[in-house]
Formats: sequence, structure tokens, C-alpha cells
Amino acid sequence: MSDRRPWRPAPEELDALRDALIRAGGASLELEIGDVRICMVPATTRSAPHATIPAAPEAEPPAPTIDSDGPGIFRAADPAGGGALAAPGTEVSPGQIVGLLQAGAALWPVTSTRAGRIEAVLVADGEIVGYGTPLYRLSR
Amino acid sequence: MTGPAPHTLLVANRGEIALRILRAARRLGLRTVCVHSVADADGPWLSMADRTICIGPAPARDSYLDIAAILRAALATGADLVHPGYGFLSESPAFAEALAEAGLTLVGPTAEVMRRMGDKVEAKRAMIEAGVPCVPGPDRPLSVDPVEAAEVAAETGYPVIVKAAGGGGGRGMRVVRRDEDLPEAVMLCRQEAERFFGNPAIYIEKFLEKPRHVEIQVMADGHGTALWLGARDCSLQRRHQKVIEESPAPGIAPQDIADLGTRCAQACRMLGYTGAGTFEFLYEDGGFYFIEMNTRIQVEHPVSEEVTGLDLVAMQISVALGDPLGITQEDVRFAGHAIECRITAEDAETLRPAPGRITALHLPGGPGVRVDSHLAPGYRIPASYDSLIAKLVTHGATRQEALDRMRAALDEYRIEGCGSTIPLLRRLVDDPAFAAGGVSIHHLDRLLAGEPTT
Repeated sequence: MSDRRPWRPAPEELDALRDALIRAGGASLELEIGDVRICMVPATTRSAPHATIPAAPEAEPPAPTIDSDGPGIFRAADPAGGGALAAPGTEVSPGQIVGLLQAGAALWPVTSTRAGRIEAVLVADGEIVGYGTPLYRLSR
Repeated sequence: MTGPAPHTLLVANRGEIALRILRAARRLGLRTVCVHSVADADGPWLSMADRTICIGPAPARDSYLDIAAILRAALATGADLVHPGYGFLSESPAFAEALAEAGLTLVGPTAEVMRRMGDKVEAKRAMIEAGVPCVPGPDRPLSVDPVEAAEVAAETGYPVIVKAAGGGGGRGMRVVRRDEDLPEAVMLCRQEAERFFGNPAIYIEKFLEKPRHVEIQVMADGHGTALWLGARDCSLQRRHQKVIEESPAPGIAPQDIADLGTRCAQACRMLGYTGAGTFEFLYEDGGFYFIEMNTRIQVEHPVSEEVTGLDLVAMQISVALGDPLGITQEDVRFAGHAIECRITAEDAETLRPAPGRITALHLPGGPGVRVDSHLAPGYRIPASYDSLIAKLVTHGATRQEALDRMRAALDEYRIEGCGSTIPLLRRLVDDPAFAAGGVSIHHLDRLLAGEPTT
């Protein structure tokens, strides 16, 4: 399956490239591999090597998300009753329960790791999620 | 027409064995779910599963060893069967119990049998009861009385080996050649046993000087049928890790293996054992000595599959589903000779891990050549796990033919982007002592250290 996916550079690959550039005494590097363009310029103008991928043109950092901390069936609301725990527009604080993960009869709370306002729910109620699946997007 | 709901098998492992299990499950028409860690999100084997689910970060203790996470994944995905593969949780009674409590079926024996076989002293007692030959030495843990320890060692006869009852994998053992060295060895071994295995119990056995490692594959169902499926010789080991395995064991009379196999099958019936298992023995001067039973499928199972023509992984899944094996011992036929080389992503000279991103890959093929490998071009081998990247198995009418095929297959194998032990394996296949058959478990370590091997 991985050969069908476009290549994306791993941080350690970028680090290795940067180290090689420094060893070779080069001032900057510009390189295209497939659809990935890698630019490395001296630290006076940029702090870290980076890669640009045309599919994600915005230069801004991605919006913060609240991610699943384990596998389960995502529940936006308590199956026993009540409305959505964190509908779009809800202000959340660190530690606040924003959703539930169900496995068998058991439910595990998903808590927010940061303060912010829920912008979007990223998975449907009842969807199976794994560890690290982004569940909510917060406003920047 | 509506039949019963199809079973869903969750694969609680990674790499080549995950792929092997997915292949067997597909053949049986089961739905499959494969768990993975963050580091394995791009694992090429995952495309074989109907569904994949990430269970945790890269460290195995937070993913492949996390019982709660795997259980949650199984329940969330509606799996009713869980295959643990080898390593990780495959011999964890706690995992077996957790699954049973949740109403899920483990592809493996019960927690009780696992626990019994996991304790070396308990296992030895069970084997003696079943008439399986054991290494001379008492079938009970050593008392803390130093006088009694000295008596036991003298009775067993020096050299002896002091071992941790909860140990395995070559750790927590000490060879003692003279009685004056015994007290210190006992003390150190007890400390290590406590520290490494959480169980200070130790025991004494006769130490064999130049044994071979010979093991019997068994398969048992829940209906009273227990089969032995031939012997494997796994004597070529580096630091207690098997490197090349073969079936049958060269130079050992088939009748001796049949006799040992019959006793192992009998032990399975006595233990109420179900599924695939392996009885491991040391073999020296015509005698077999039980060392341990592994209550799971083993890495080297393909050599037994090649000589018997049976699909051991499919059989263990069928047995877990409650089906009878459907064959008897008389139906098991052994044909030819099979050899397996374990290819690892290690530097062939230094034998240090050398993972990387696969830039080129060509697998050998042709008659009698089988490759069990989860690699694909572009795949980055994570550094977090075992370095096994492929099992190259050849089968021939004779051992010579299997060796010739192995030589040609190793020469044909091409892998770039990571280190590989292929050059080392190629040298070993040409080693005169290995080519002759019947080397001891110390042969490879001595060969690599440049020491005399005879």
C-alpha cells in the first residue's frame, strides 16, 4: 500500500539532509522529489528545514485538534441520554470531557488537552476511531 | 438464505506474522481487523486487512503489549477471534484471561495451560508425568538451603546449569562446573530471576556440552485429537536466537522422532492442550531432553508446513473456532526436506540493527522457494521492533536439493535501503559443518567468534 502513496519526507530524513548539507559546506538547497519540494536556507532566515507539499498550500500551522487517545467507537453524546458533549461553538477547557469512546459496554471519556472553541466535529457519531484520530478541530 | 454471521479475526501483531495470519484468515473466508502502532501506520501488510485500527504509539508496551488497547480495538470493531502471532502477548495468560472475560476467543490454549507451561519447573513435572524425556535434575525448585543445593548438584552430576523457573530466551541461567562455584552461581541466578522475571524460583539441571536444538510441532483440537507434525532442527543460533531452521532434523532416525512425537501428542491430550504448540528439546548422544513448551505458533513453522503440506495457521484458527482437525496421525505424511533462513535488517558483518527505507526489492522464486516477508518498495522499517524482515524457505526432495535451492535463492534475493543478513546466511549455507548437518547450538557463536567449531 505504501508504494501507492506519494512520498512524504520524515523529520529524520530532513534532519539527515540538513546535516549532509552542512557537512558539504552548502549554503542552501532546493530539491524536488515527486510532488515534494524541499527548501533549506541558512538559519538566519529560517530556523528549521521544511518541505512544502502542494496539496496543502496554506503556510499557516494546522488548526489544533483534540485527538483520540485510544481505539473505540466515537460517541459525540452519552448513549444514555443528553445532547452533544462538545457541539461546534462550545468553549472547552483542558480536562473537560468532550466525547466518549465505546468498546463493548464500556465507555471511556475523551478529554480536551487544551482550551479553545470547538470549530468542527471531525468524525461521525458511531465511527470506529483509533489512537491519534483527530476528533475535533478547535478555532485557532 | 442467511448463514451465521461471518467471524471477524483481529490480528494482534505486526510484520511478517501479521501478513501470514491475514493470508490464512482470507483463505478461511474470515473478516479481518489488523491493529497497528503509530510507527506501523504505513505497514504494507495492513492493506491485506478488511479494517485497520491504530492502538497506540510506537513503543510496544504502549501498543502491541497493551492488553486494554487491543481489547478495546477488538470490541469496537466487532471481532470475535484474536490471533496473537508470536512474541508480544502470545504467551500472556493475563491477555488470554482478559479476552475470555470479554467473551472473545483467543487463537491459542487456555490461560491455565499457558501459565503451567510458562513455569519451567511446572512444565517439566507435567512432561515427566506424560512420559516426555527431560534433562536430568529434580522437577522442583531449588530450596534456599545451600547444603541441599550442593547435594542436588552433586546428584545431578557436574557440569550443571542453574536456571530461572520463570526464565526463557537464554536469560537467567548459569553453568557451574565445580562445586566450589555453586553458592555464588545460585545467589546470582536467584537475584537475576527476581529482577528479570519477577519470580526468584530457580532450579538445577544437568548441563549438556554440545547439544542440538530439536523441537516437535504439535496441533491439537478440542475434540481429543492431538497430532505431532514432525521435528525441526534449530541448532544454528546466534546468542540463543535461531538463524536457520530445518525439517526433518538431519541424521536422526525417523522412528526416534515418531516415538518422541507420539509422547508429545500424548502430553497434549493430558494437558487439555488446544491449538499449535512446540515442545523444545536438547538432543545429545541419541537422547532427547525437554527444555520448554511454546504455546503459540513459532517463527519457523513454515518448514513444517513445507514437509507436511499443511497450513498450520489455518489449522490453529479452525481449532479456535471449535472445529475438529478432521485428520488423524496416519493422514500426516512427510515429504522431502525444508530449510528456513531468517533474514534480519542487520549489518551482515557487525550484526547491529540497520533499518532503513526499502529502495529496491526483488524476491527469489521458482519451484520449492517460499518467501514470507512484509516488505514493499518504499517501506521504511521502523527501528522500534524486531529486525526480522523475511523468512526465506526452500523445499526439496532431499536436504541437498533444499540447500541448493537456498543457495540460489539467497544469490537471487535483492534488497536495498537497509542492512540485511543475506551475505552471512549465504556463507552459513556453504559452511562445511552445517552443510554436513547436525551442528550443535554453539556452532554459530563459535564460528562468528573465529573459535574452533569442532
